[in-house]
Amino acid sequence: MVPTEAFVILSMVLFAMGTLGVLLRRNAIIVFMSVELMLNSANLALVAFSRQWQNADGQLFTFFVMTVAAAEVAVGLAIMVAIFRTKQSINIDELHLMEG
Amino acid sequence: MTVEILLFMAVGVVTIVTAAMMLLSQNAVHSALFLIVNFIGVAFLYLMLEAPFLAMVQIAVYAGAIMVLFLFVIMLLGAEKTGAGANLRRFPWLAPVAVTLAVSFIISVGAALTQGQIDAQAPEARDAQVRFVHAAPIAMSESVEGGLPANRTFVLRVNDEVIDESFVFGDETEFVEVAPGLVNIGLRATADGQDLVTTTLELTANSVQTAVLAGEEAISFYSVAQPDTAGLTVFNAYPALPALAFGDLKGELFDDARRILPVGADEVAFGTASAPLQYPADFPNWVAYAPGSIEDVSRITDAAELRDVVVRISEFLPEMRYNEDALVVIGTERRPDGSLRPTATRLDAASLEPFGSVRTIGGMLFIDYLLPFQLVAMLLLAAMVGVIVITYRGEHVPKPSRATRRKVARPLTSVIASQTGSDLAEDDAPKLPEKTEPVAGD
Repeated sequence: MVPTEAFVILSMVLFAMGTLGVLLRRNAIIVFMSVELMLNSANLALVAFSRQWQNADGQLFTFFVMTVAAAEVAVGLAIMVAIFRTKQSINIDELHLMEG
Repeated sequence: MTVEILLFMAVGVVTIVTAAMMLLSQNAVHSALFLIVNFIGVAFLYLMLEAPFLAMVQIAVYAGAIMVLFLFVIMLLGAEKTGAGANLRRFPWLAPVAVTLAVSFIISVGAALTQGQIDAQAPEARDAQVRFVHAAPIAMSESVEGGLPANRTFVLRVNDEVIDESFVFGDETEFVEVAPGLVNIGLRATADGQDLVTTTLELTANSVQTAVLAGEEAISFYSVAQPDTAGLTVFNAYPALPALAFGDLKGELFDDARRILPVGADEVAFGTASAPLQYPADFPNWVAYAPGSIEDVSRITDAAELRDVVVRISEFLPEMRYNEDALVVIGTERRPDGSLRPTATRLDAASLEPFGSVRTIGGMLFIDYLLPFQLVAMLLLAAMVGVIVITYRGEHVPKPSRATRRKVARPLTSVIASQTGSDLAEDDAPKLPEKTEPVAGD
């Protein structure tokens, strides 16, 4: 049986890569995909600990995270489409509408 | 190193490599495709973590629906190429800070894991699950209820804890959770306090067992583990015969003779259970018989031979259905006059859903987590409305262009002709295009 630690380490590495993607990539869609990667790695840790304690609550939370992620992706991509219409770009360095 | 660990390492490498390629690739479509592979790898890890339902949801919702949405938006916006705006960075200090953050995160969590700060050792073992079945026709007491002798009742104890106050013939208890290891089981008569059985069973962790009380003279508990595969398991609690074989009893056409088509290769000794068998659909007439007691099972002409050695399973259990998942106990029961006759009892196969199965998750979702489930449904509805509101541009009315609005009363050539007095050649004259009706249903 694969130890829980191995899954947690893998999930940690994926989470760090997702963070790097959010901070370093300029394309808003790639940033979004990195956020999905981070959510997924958190899910992986949840499921691993759920097996560790033989408690299915962790799997339920993963299920809810997936649903919320689906809603978030739908709204986020809609915002991106709306921004692209006005600015003709989704490079997040060019998007500073809220700057004072 | 086991196969499981090798598989984990292979899938782990695939997920990390695809995540890296997702971050590094310059084409957003390639990034999305790499992320799909990453998600499928994570779904595989869910399977390894005893979460098959989540693995399927991961593939259907994440790798399927969400990533298709991503690809759709990338294609719609034409935003595949991403390297263009790289030179106008607004935060040049962000890259070193991000890398430092990620590395410190990995170091801190990794150190905590290796130092044992996070308790993530081997998964906890679950308690053994065991239920008790009374299939021993113990001689009845002298007391008589309504003309029939009453069954003797017993108190069933597991590790000195009372499980059943009145355990009588034919009873089946609920599953009880017992700490794994050697378990003391006691059966004491209610009437006179005499200990009938005191025995120990060895229960392993995570196992699901049925302990059957069987025997006529020497009575004891025999435990049957829940089989890994579905099917009909037959338990032999018939002490008159040393072993039982199973077959389908069929009549011969145009003949008084009958034959038995054997099912299942093994003979089942007393106190053990068969491997899972498949109960057929076509009017089965299953019997249990003593192997060797019938001269030729393919042609039985002597009716007495059948009567003496055969327990008719299907006649006792007419409710059995095709391909049923059950545990059948073949034993004896006592007639009111004290003599014994064979019988068969059906028990539900099991009981306990494996951890993380669809039924477990569904039960939790609709019982324990009904309110969060409804809230999430509302959230999805709100997101749907929100998406429509954000992308809605108002009613789109195409502006009529000037070219079609200009009215030309007369052709240009006739105007020139009337002013100069000379006709232009008809062939050279520019002609207006034919007026066309707009196509309906556009």
